[in-house]
Amino acid sequence: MRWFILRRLSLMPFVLLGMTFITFVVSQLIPIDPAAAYLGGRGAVHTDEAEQNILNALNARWGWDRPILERYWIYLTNLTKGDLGEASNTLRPVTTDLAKVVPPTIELVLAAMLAALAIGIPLGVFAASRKGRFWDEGFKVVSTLAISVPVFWLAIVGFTIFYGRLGWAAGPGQLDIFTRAPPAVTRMVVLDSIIARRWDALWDALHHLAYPALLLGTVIGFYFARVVRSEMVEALESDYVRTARGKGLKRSLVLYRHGLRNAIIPMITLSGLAFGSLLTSVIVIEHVVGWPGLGEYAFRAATRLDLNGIAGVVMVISLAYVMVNLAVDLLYTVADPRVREGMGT
Amino acid sequence: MKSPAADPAGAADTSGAPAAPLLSVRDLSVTFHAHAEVRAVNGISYDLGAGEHVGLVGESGSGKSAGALALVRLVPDYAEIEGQVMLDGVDLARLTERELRDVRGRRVGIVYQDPFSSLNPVLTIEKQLTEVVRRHSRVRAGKARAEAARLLESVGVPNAAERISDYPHQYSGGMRQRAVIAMAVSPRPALLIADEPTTALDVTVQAQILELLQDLTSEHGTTMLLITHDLAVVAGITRRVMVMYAGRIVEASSTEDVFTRPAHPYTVALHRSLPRIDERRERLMTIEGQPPDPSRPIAGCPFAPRCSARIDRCTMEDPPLMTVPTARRAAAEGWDRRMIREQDGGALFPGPAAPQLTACWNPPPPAEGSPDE
Repeated sequence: MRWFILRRLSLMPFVLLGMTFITFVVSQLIPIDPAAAYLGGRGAVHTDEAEQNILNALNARWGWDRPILERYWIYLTNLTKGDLGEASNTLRPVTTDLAKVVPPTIELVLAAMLAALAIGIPLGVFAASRKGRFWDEGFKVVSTLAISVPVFWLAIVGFTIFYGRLGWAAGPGQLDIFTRAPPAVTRMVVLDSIIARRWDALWDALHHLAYPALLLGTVIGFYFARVVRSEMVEALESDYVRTARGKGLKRSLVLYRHGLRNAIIPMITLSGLAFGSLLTSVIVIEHVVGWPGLGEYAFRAATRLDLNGIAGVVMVISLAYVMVNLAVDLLYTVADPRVREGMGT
Repeated sequence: MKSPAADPAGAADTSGAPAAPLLSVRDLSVTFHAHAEVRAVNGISYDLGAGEHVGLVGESGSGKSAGALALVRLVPDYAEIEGQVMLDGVDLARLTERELRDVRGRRVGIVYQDPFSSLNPVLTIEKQLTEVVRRHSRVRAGKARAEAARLLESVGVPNAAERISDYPHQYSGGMRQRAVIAMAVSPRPALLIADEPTTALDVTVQAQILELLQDLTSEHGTTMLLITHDLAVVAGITRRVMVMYAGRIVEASSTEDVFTRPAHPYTVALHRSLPRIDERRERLMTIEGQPPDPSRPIAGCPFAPRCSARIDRCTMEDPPLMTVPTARRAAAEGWDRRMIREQDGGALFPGPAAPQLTACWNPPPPAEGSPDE
């Protein structure tokens, strides 16, 4: 078990190195003139000599005229010093920007994941325990709809209804403009409010978090529920569930301890995979509800052709993937004793 | 052999056997409503006396497992159960699911066919044992764990105190089956259903498991219904055997009779398909043909198409269970069901005191050297 973790951790640097190479090369392959983009243009024909001089100066300053491998090397050496370059869309170091935009996204993603699990697992168990009957059939229809409708559309329509018409959801952003923000410690407003014991801010932060988290959580929750349902149906028809029933155990014990405990194992992998679709959905949702997070930042960096910004975002997302995958493997060993055994301590 | 006319339903021959049977099954049918309607069990009736060990023999698909698990409604949702299942005067078929939960485990213990799939892979043996102890005796967690360890030791798992915290995959097949048996006998059930308990095990382990079942049930006076497709399994353990074919009981006899003078052509055929060491045969005999398709109604005896002793009546009328002499005369003299009933003295069900019964219009002649009637 310990060897397994060590082995996985020792592979991490190589994974990260490969990751930086791919993100760097891909961002350099975008067919634009970085110097022109820096100035706000798109690389049109420059006849003006003064402008040309500026471009040349920029190229010399940032090394954009050097060969790609050399630039990659510079990028790597800067990276080891914690320098991801300057974001042309904010004119600040990318690391400074990321430190600001990553925590709100983590907050949103975690809240959405919790909501997805809280919605998906009970719903899946419920549908499975009523297999083929009214509620199960209804579940199939609704869940098919929920996972087929595009998130960006749902996010806009939902926001129009719940914020615009009904006024249930809070407005854009993490806090109301009249709420004094708690001092930034973690930069996750919910946590910061708790740390500062600012209960008014906590309430307001939760209210703002509710709509995007519940929307994402519902969509992914239905996706989870479909898998939980099919795994549960299989588990409930298994011999060990029959044994549990044959012991005279209560229905809830049979369902949750014997059925769900087995059906949940594939959910770990699935949560890891769902994490990917969650990140892409987050970019859209953040834009809709004005959440000052990584998605919103990525959107701005992309539309302003900010290569360093984009590379920084991709780096963070890739890093998150690597960590989530590691977590998935570790959770597996906790959930399934047979895997634990196979680890060979 | 008792004279059937003088012994209606074996009422006079109950010496040793208790007055009321522990389990009384009447017209039990199990129908699976799957793609096609499959009638797995077709109106079987029998009695089990308290403390009796009875074998239920038949090939796969004969309905023996479905019929036994249907006693406590441990069948899939799409199975429909009809008939009466009286356990100690209570009709289990009429209980609600909630009431039945108190019967399962506590009054009726079950040992399943495949110990590899019938234990939960993600829970320790201790957890799975303790939960049944706690369910039926309401003791504290600590005491239940001690009881679980004692149980595991009593079924012969070596190093039980340590091995109890293992997961099922760390056990061998025989040890798993021992753990399943420990769970089944823990609340001291009145009836133990052993559904092919040795089929999935190595031959060397089979005998040990059978011996264990034998010891545990004898010790507590537990009634055991031992289901198997293997005649040899019931030989040393049960006093009586019921043979099932195509969802019906086709023969019910004492174990000795089943071996020395089988009363149904199907039983005879089963014997011929057993390998024997005292007769050199080039190859084992098989039973020609296939069991009937249970999704179609059968006219006449379900074994008739495969039967070498078939007479005209077999393909027209399904024979009821009757005593052997009655069966012989019924075919010869053209008795109808009413006359058969009168001759055998009312309804006849396989039970502790019932004589040898067969559902055949042309039962095989007794083997040489054994007196009949």
